Amino acid sequence: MENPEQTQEISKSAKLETWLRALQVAQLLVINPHGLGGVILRARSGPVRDRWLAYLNTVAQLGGMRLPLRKMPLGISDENLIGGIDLDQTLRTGKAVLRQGLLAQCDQQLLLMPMAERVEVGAVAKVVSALDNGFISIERDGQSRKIESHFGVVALDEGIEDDEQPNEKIRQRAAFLLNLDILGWRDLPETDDDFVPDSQSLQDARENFSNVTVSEDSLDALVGVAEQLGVISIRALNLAMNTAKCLAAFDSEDEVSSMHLQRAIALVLSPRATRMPQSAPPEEEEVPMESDEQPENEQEPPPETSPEDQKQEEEQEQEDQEDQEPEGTAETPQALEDEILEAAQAAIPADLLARLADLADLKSPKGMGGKTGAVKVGRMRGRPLGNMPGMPEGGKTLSIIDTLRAAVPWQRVRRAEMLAAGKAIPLGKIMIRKEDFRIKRYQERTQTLTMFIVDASGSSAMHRLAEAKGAVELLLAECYIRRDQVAVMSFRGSAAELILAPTRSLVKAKRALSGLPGGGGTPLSRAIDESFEVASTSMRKGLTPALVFLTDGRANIAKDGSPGRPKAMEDAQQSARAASYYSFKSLWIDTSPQARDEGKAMAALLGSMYLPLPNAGANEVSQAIMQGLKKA
Amino acid sequence: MARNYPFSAIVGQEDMKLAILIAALDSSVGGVLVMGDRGTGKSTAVRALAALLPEMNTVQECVYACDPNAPAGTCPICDELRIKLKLGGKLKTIKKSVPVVDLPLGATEDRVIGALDIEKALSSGEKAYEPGLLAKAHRGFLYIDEVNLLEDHLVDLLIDVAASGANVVEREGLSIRHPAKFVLVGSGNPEEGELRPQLLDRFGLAVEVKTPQEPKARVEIIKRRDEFERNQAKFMEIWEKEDDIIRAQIQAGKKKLPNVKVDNAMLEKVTQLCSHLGTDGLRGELTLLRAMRAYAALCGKNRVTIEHLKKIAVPALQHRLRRNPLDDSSSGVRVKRAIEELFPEKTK
Repeated sequence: MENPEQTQEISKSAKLETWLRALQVAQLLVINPHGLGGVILRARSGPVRDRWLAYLNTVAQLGGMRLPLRKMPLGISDENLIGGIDLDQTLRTGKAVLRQGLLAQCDQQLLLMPMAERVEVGAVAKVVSALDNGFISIERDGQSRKIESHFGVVALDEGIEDDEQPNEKIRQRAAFLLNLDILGWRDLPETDDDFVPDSQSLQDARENFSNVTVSEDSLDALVGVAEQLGVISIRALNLAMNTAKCLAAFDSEDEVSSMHLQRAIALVLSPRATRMPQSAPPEEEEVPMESDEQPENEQEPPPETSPEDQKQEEEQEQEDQEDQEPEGTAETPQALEDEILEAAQAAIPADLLARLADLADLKSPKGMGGKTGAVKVGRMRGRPLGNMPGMPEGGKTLSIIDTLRAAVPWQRVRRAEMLAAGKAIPLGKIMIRKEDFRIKRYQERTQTLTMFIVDASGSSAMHRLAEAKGAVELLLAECYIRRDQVAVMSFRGSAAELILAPTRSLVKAKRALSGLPGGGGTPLSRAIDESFEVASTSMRKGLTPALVFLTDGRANIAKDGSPGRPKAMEDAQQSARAASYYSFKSLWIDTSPQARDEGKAMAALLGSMYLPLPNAGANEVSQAIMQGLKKA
Repeated sequence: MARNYPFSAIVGQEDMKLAILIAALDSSVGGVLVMGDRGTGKSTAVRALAALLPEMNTVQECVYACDPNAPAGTCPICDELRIKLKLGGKLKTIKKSVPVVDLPLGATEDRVIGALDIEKALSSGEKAYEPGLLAKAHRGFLYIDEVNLLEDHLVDLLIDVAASGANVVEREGLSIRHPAKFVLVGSGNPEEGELRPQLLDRFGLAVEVKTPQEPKARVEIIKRRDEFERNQAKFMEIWEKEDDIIRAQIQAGKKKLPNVKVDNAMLEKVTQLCSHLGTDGLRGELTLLRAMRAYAALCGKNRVTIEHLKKIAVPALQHRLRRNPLDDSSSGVRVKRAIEELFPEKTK
């Protein structure tokens, strides 16, 4: 989460350091664009970003790139990205002429991807496969070709929220993750001229980086530090190694030194850290220190795949080393590792861990990866997504241009056929046949249905209910602005009742809520069953449902309507397990005065995000829900 | 163009490697789906497969590289050649390497199924069929990286062709039908969307890969990658010998395969396991049986034992289970648990 106080706390020197690091990234990208994959530059459009891009441009030209930055427009078509047949040339010359796509034109240069957080996953996958392969594989319009292209990506990430990020595929393959949002124009030095490298050393580095060697000790240290920082990806290791090589080449050295390694790790691994090595700087309050030697006291959020025992071992080792200050000389791999670790730690972004804690909570349990309004490929409306062969029937739209394009090459064949069959050829007309028809495809963002399941039982005391109602009303207004649909279900006594069917009407919703009576038992199992049924029906209608439960989670009415807590809880748990398979986004707001385990357990079974809100008023609840739904 | 990273140099990922080898040994097992973490060498392993495959015998003049022993009526070109030969003659054959064809994202339908040669149509008005990727992949492998991002209309096409083993193209009044039997190999990241069940079902084996955690293995991976990038020729020379060994193993396994026996008791166990897990249809049983046999052959064994079954049951069945609302463990775990329940360790 963006924390303004923390941002302010970053000192002037740290800001300068960030800027210098950004400049170094630019140099490295020019030295080896393809081997380093690129950079994800998180920065709003503005003078800071423009200045960095200008610097990159200058360095690139010094390094010998002629047209350094090729822009990839948002929503670029496959034809423009990958390539295809050049119809005009093909018809003119009578020979199949291939038109190169943007990716092929980027060879030895940089691909500029503005608004990278909004680029659709299909396009990202195509860029990434070219990055991986070093060539573009074209299987389009009757053309089959492989074109070599080695480029790097400069992805401009203009996301504001934490969940607005460029696709993970590209983040994995770009060596550098830079955040310039923390810098203002005034934080920058007067001019960057002093930091512009000379053309000769850049070009030498470009030629020599592939010959730089890395010792085995350095590799051991690299892997060790990655472990400590909780960086799992092998790609990140490779990128760090390549970065170290480029740095060495830039210094005209033929082996990676510990200084290069340090720098490379600070640039590549530190921004990816998922945990703080145990000697964390003291000001990081939220960070649980790992100074405890008991394995049970592991409490920081470790990446889910990290094997505990191994980490433990590393920690012990680290523990042993801690007393003796690591010296500047790197004699043993362990000492080297420590030294590098220290440098790496310093480069971990200040707000990283606070943000991490947030993100860890948000991992959707089934990995469905849907934001507000999942994406649906449709035939009716939305953003155009290209075309496919097919007949314009059942509401599909004919793409006239594409149909004509498909028909054009075959005119000669068709004419000859008509002649042979003795039929008259319509003069000056283009002959279009069934197989030419192309229909349009669209991508539309589906509407979200936010459904509130409100516990109106006696156990949720009356005033809680009032707060819940207030929160729902506030949310309704918000949903109304986003043109989302809302529904409200209440449960009390022995039944759950859909008091407001999915609607967009604010008035209706308010009326339904105001008449909501309270008191009676808590038939939680029924509430879960029925709410998920409504949600799944709405999904079939093309909505993306999100569920918000407001309850204390203490069921006392079983599915069959009989009272009794144990049976009721058991039923509720079973319902939750069954419901979790829908993988809908859901939020469990625990309204009990003290957060209870029951609620937490139910939320876990449902795969919901859990929010205990013991003493919150309507405002807090609605805020929490907005936050939660954005991320959950 | 850069060469592929050698198969034998891939560190760890034994499940994935085994599944690929089994598919290479017996194509009737029906393809491999590799899902899992990013950057775990999924595509590297599949691309490396090409170098491991023993050459195949093909009809020299057939563009589809048909098997000379294929029955008449499967391929129009071979049929024509046979007619020309009259009685008693033999088709000329030639050894060719087994194709491993990439189906890149963004491929258009005409390149997948084949289309008329646009150049010939323009220059001479001639209608000449130009085979597509499916034809190229005949008797070999069709690899789709990011299979879950493949466009729906291409998926439909693939399912259809994979089921019938033949590709039919109708264009400009021309109707062409040619054999297209291929092993589907797909890889992807499950977080980016699930596969349609119909396509999932086309894959014989499914494996899950994870990023290796062990520091030694991690060091080894980046070290080898570095060596490969710096001195490819030398690196290939070293690992080609290892690849040779695997190739010989596949070849020996192929020879052995027809003689591998599965006794009735083992067949019963297969049925028992599948019904216990409630897999839909017969495909699970058949695949498990074939995969067991291929695995035994790969190990150089003449009989399928319970160990073979245990080893191969997870990849053969895990993607065929229905979701069970009362059990949220992963399907791989469920298969393992069923094995433990049904065939406890004492079976020896």
